[in-house]
Amino acid sequence: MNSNDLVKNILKHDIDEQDRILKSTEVIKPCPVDIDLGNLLVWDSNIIDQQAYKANRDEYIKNTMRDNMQLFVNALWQVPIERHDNAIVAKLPESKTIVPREKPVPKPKPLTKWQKFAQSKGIVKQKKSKFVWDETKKEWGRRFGYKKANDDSKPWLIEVPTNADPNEDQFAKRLSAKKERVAKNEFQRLKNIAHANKVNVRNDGALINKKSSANDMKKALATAKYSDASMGQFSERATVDEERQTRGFSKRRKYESNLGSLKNEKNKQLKIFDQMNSSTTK
Amino acid sequence: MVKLQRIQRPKTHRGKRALKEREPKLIENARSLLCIRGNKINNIMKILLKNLHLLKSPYSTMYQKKNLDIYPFDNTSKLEWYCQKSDCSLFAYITHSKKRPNNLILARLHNNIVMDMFEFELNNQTFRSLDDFKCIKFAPGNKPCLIFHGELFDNESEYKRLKCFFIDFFRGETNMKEIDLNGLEHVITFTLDIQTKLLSIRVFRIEFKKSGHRIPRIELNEIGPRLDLIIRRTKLASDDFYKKTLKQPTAIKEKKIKNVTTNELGTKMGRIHMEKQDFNQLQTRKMKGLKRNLTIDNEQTQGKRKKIDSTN
Repeated sequence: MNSNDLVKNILKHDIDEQDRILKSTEVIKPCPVDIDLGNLLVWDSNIIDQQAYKANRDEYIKNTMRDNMQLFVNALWQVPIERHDNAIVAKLPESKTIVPREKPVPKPKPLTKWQKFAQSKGIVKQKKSKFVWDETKKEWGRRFGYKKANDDSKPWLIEVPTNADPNEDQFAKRLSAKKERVAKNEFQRLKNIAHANKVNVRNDGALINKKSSANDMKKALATAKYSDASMGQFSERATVDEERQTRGFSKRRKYESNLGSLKNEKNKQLKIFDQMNSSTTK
Repeated sequence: MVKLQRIQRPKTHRGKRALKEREPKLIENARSLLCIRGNKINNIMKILLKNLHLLKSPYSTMYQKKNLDIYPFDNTSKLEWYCQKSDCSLFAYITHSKKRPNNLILARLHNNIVMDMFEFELNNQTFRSLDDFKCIKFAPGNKPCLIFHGELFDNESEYKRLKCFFIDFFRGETNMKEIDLNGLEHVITFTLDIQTKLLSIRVFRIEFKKSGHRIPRIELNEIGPRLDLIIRRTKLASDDFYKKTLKQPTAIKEKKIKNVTTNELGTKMGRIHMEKQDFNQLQTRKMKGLKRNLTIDNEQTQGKRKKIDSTN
């Protein structure tokens, strides 16, 4: 009897031990693992066990990755948790690894003329209702759009005002007034875009260059110089420091000596071929 | 291009929304993948491309036709144009030739210019596709966990960039603040062997098992494509260009509020820093009785009293 009980105890102890190992969430690694919760990223810098890797690669990978994943989950469960309806949600911290952006950082758009005015006066946009009461139809209609309420764009009758010419076409007058308003709005919109791109526009739409920049001056001087038959190769220098004054815009070529190094010449010409074949990417 | 589009406005609200999606944003969209075929491909590469497309769906576009005359390591302009058209910032390009069999080129772009490009050779013997694993996969669009293993990822600059590249490639949604604990469905693992330089990519499904306590035990089941890759060629972005792409907008950064603390009772305490004060020159309440010129005043009042007395 005693030995039977002993055997039973040992077996039970064994089963309990196995259970404990199977359910354990402990992982011991020689080198601690770097976990970035914000990106759901784990970086294991331990050395790969070459023997196990060569013996059965997939098995080894599965086991090490299970361990790494366990470590990740252990870390994730430490994070503050909320309940949203049925879901249990963990609040992730900020990601540690900086990843390159897809597109450049957006530049803040410059304010339009109206926006500047509204800011200075403190005018705030009032939210308007989508539907308006139409007296004639006695129903609610949209403020604007398809079948809008109080729509007088196609009137069947227009009263001629007392001070107007009786032979004037009031319908045509309305149409042209509408066209004028649309055109004015479009012009103002384009003017705002031009201002945003630092291009100054006159009332009739022509461009104004208020101040000639330094680049314009350089460009003008360089243009003047290469406007002769030999592209300015043999003309005198206009000022002492003409090289500096026309930097970036000059078309004066520097010729190498005929008796220079053959190797340099060959490299130069091969470089030209390379540039012709490749695409210009940074 | 964007400026032109502002002068010519989008005519529909849908068009306006589509353009707004493509604009650069503070918090960016997930990187989209463009899957393209080269002129000559074999069946295995076709299956691989399909698998990549499914791994990344819905952030993925597949171009079905073959494309002649695209040699990414010489000229990337055609691929950049395709990516601009479909608003993708990653591409996967497959070819198969005698010189470079089972060739896979992965690249990422910044502002529609190719940044990093890696050319891999796929080991076609050990390749297993998604179809070879008959089990439940994961919901499309789920954010995967990523695990990297191998010292090379930290030691050599090429592999460092490769690690960053793969994080970028498979990351999915950027800037995720919260995660549903049931939504952790799959892991993508990258193992880089230092001797053979073989990069093994495996995809597992995560299963939570009961452990004795709050934290569940993890078991992994392989679901996805099994890839063994060797790097052939790379074309990495120059350091300046790379630094430029890492710039994060300042508007996102959480602003630290200084000098305000909350003590254990819940009261908000603030700290004020004062400049040095000269206590002799401090302005306090005026009390006539404490004035220095008091004696002179007394004489004046006595004088007044005398006058009054004299009149009486």
